[in-house]
Amino acid sequence: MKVMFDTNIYISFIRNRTHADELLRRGTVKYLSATVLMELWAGGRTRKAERLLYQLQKPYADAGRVVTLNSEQYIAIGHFFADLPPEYRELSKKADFLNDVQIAITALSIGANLYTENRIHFDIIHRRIKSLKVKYLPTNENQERHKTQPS
Amino acid sequence: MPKMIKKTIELNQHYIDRARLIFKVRTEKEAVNKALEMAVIDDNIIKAHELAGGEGDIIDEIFK
Repeated sequence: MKVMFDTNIYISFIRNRTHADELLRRGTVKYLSATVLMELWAGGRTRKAERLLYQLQKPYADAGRVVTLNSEQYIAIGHFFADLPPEYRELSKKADFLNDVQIAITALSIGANLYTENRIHFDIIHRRIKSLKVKYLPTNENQERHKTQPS
Repeated sequence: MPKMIKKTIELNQHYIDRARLIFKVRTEKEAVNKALEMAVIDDNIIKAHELAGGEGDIIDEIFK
């Protein structure tokens, strides 16, 4: 099974090992979206972060598992935004939503399951790209809340 | 170029046949090598994840 992880999955795991089950699972064919890589590097401002990101990306890059978009896929993204209903016009101006659409298309291009914490964005994307396979994982805050709730 | 070596080992023929189909390769040699390659790549990625996990708040979520 091909899998790809959204930026928030890596960040939560780097923070406190949230989503370790998915990231450390053997037997899945793991790919990395180049857009996720860009977002991670944008957030890594220290030497320690740079070292960590270099280590993280290396096995993906060595194995040719970093997925980039081609011109046809960028055109498809253009169509996606052109066809968005008016209520999403403001959302479509935001970089994080554009990045998530790019991540979705990279996952779709290789037929990977995409793991994310961002249900809001990916519900909107999935409604328009039905063939996208999205798996939602709880955010760290939701996991903590779930643990402390009385049964 | 990796070092290739001739081995005489017993392998599960059913798995080899399945691997040829999965990887869409012609020969059994290619199928076995591809399966081994996949296992090694997966291990490298998991080890890289292991090293990154639990390092704390060192990557900001810029696009949020």
